Amino acid sequence: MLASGTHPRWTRGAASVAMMVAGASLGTYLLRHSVAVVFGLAGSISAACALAAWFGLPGTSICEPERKVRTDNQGVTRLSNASHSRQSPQCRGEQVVRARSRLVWKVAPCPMSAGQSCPATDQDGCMTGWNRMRAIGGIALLGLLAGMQQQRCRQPQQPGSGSPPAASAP
Amino acid sequence: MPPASARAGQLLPRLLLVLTAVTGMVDAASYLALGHVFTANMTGNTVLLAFASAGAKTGHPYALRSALAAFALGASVAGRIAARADAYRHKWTGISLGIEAGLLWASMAVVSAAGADLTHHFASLYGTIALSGLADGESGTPRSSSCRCTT
Repeated sequence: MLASGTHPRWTRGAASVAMMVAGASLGTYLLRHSVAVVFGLAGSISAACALAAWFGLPGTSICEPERKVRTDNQGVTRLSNASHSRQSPQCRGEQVVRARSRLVWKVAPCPMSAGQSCPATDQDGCMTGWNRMRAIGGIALLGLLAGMQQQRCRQPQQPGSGSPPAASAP
Repeated sequence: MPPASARAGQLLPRLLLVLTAVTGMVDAASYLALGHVFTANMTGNTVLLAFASAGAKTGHPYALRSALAAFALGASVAGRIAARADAYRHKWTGISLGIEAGLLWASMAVVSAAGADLTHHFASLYGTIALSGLADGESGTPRSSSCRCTT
């Protein structure tokens, strides 16, 4: 937004940064009491969020949360258009779509073919979840390999080659 | 008053924002009290690990690797839960966040049992790092998969 871009969810990103800063500040403040207090409060908030998610979120499919099944006058079931960027890998074959009107399960073929991969970023320019996990895993693997290589190449320190020796008494 | 579906649609981003604050809290505790290791957001750990591999004096490399491995394990477990939870978002999000809460409480128990200075109790230190890394790996998958542009 600052660079005159057209990010549709900039408020969400800014709120995410602000919440992380607020959480870190609160955690630092609570560290004056104990580390256990921070972990306990974090666990309690997570438990509250778990309960809220369990009872408050609708039972929509994770494969296609915005997809709706419509039945026209001829009785033909049609799927409304939706982007494929939020599809998880298990959705590439066949996906289960719940008809909202009749509460029955239908198996509808996914328009994305089995050999086609999901894009690395969605329309907002954010990395999709699966690709974010792959990126983090790849970076972690590179870090592990670099650390192992560093340890292997580390030579024992020669006397006199490190820090300057302490001044000895005359 | 907005309909129930609209209110439910607004619930998930709000939950994820609250969980973002939780990651900030956990990162503050882990970095300041567990020996300069992030256990909630792994980007800092990868950079610190690169610093350590180049010879700079950062957090303990084994602690950094433990946090990364625990996070990866938690994320993979959460991915499996997501694949088996009947393809229903509220179930696997709730289950993952419930597991995260349990693991964070387990971290609290380990920290409480260890006493004041964690850095001298290696078993407790690495146990706390592993538990909190697992916890935030568990919650990272619903966070990154279900709502865009939240961390």
